[in-house]
Amino acid sequence: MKKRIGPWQIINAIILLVVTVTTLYPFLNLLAVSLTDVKYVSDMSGLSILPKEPTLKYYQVLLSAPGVQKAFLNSVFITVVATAINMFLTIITAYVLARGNFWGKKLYIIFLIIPMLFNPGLIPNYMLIRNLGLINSYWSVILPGAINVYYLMLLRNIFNGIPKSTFEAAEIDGANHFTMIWKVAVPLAKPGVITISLFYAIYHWNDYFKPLIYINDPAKWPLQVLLRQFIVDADKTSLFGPLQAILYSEGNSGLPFRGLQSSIILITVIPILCLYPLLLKYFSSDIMSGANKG
Amino acid sequence: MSTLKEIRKKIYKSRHYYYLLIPATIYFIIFHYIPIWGVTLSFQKFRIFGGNEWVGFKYFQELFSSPTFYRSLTNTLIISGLKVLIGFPIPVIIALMMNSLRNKHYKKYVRSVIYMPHFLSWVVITGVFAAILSPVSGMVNEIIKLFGMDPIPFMTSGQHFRGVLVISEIWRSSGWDSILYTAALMNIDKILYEAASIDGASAWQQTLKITLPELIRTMVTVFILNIGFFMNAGFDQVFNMMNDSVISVADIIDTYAYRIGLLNNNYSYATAVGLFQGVIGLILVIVTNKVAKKIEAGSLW
Repeated sequence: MKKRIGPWQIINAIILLVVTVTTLYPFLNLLAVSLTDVKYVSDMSGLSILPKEPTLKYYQVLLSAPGVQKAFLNSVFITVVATAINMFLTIITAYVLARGNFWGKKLYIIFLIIPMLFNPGLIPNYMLIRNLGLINSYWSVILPGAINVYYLMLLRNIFNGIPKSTFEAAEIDGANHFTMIWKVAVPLAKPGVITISLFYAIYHWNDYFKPLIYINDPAKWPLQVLLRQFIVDADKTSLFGPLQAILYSEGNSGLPFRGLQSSIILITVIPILCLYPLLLKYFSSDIMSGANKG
Repeated sequence: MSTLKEIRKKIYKSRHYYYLLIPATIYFIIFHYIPIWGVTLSFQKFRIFGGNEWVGFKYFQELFSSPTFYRSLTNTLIISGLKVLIGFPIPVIIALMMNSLRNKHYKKYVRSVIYMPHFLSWVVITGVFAAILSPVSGMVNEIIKLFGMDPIPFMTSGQHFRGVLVISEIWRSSGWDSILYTAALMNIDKILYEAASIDGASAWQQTLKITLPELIRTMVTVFILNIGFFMNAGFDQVFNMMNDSVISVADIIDTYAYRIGLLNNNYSYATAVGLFQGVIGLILVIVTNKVAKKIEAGSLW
């Protein structure tokens, strides 16, 4: 049944257009500022989305700064290792909770849910990392979030949706749990598995707080901490190192804060924008609503 | 009733499942249950060398007589309240508007744009808002200047800062939060609409009689669950956006605990702050989830 497009439909579409522009415009402005020649940056209007005398100067300077390069690699390392651990643990645990009919299962689920209900707060977590001797180690950032219970339950429900007969057929063929997990469950739950791994990866890429409080050595900081130092504390030292920071300080030969700010924000965001289409492709609202069932 | 022997047999039969649960179990004990036990620090005096000394409720007495603590509690309630009050209806409206879009490609475009900010960190969003709200060159102040008014230093003005928190939260989450309502709208059986239009119900009547009741069920659930998280006014957001000039209107319980604990190293006192927040949070989540279950609109799990 095809409805005619009335005036309300058009107004509706226009309002949503305004909403999307409000979301995108700040980024277009930052992009324009980040590409504008050093001379003009301070005169750039916050409303402008066209760069003046386009240049890649900021990106060249930032991407060749040792602090930024190191931080970028740190972020990639943390994200990849942590997501791999996340997925391994989440998949095997979700498989057991979906398939296993074992004694104590209800109790085990309560065991998993209690930490979701009660948050002991910042200091007990900090003390744990300290007592484990993980301060200044990448593991202090990677291990505390090794399983997200919400994603675990999501994946359990997705595995539950796989017909029992599929597993039974594999069982008759002599498949063990290992084969059942990696050859049956995971391939059949591909959209869910990809969506959840992207959620985990984006979480780790965006994490700034754990590295901020657990890692004291600036050489081990991920990009988000560097960005925070720059934006919140206006600290250029961690970007360029102490010597270059003086060189790039505001003044005759310096790079203006606004230009650096725009480009470092975009450098931090671009990896997420690269993963985002993949997320849109595999994500659907039934994956999310699956978490409320079962 | 199963006897001990039967249970033992059953456990043996499914032993491989238990083996597969070992890594997760170790993880939860170390990284969740030890910190839960760790709240006992709030009843102890912390010592770097030697054992801690039990001091009873000393730190809680300190806490409940501290004006800064009450300030952080008030700020938490006000900021949470504003976010729920102003932010709550917006995802519903967005979902309804998206639902009545006819063009598939346009719908896809809107969806991919409005979900996006949810995937950005608060550090990035702080950077973006610092840029667009800057009194010198920010987008918002450029517009204000077009109307011939004086620019407003939003990020450092105690009068405007809570507004910044609410707006940036809406900007970041309302698109993503609309998903729940979109899913609810999609779950409504198409047959209901067809039957209604055969009976001569107008589009408006259909919205009123079919769409709205289903939406309200979801709204009630989401609202109740939001109340469950009322004690969390958004640590990552406030922590990154707050500065000294707005601390009196922005300092929430979490940022207070951070300052006391990790900047002043007053571990026991900060643990007491966290425990207070955790206990209230626990009560809120349990009560609200019970209520949500009663309304039969679903529950947390």
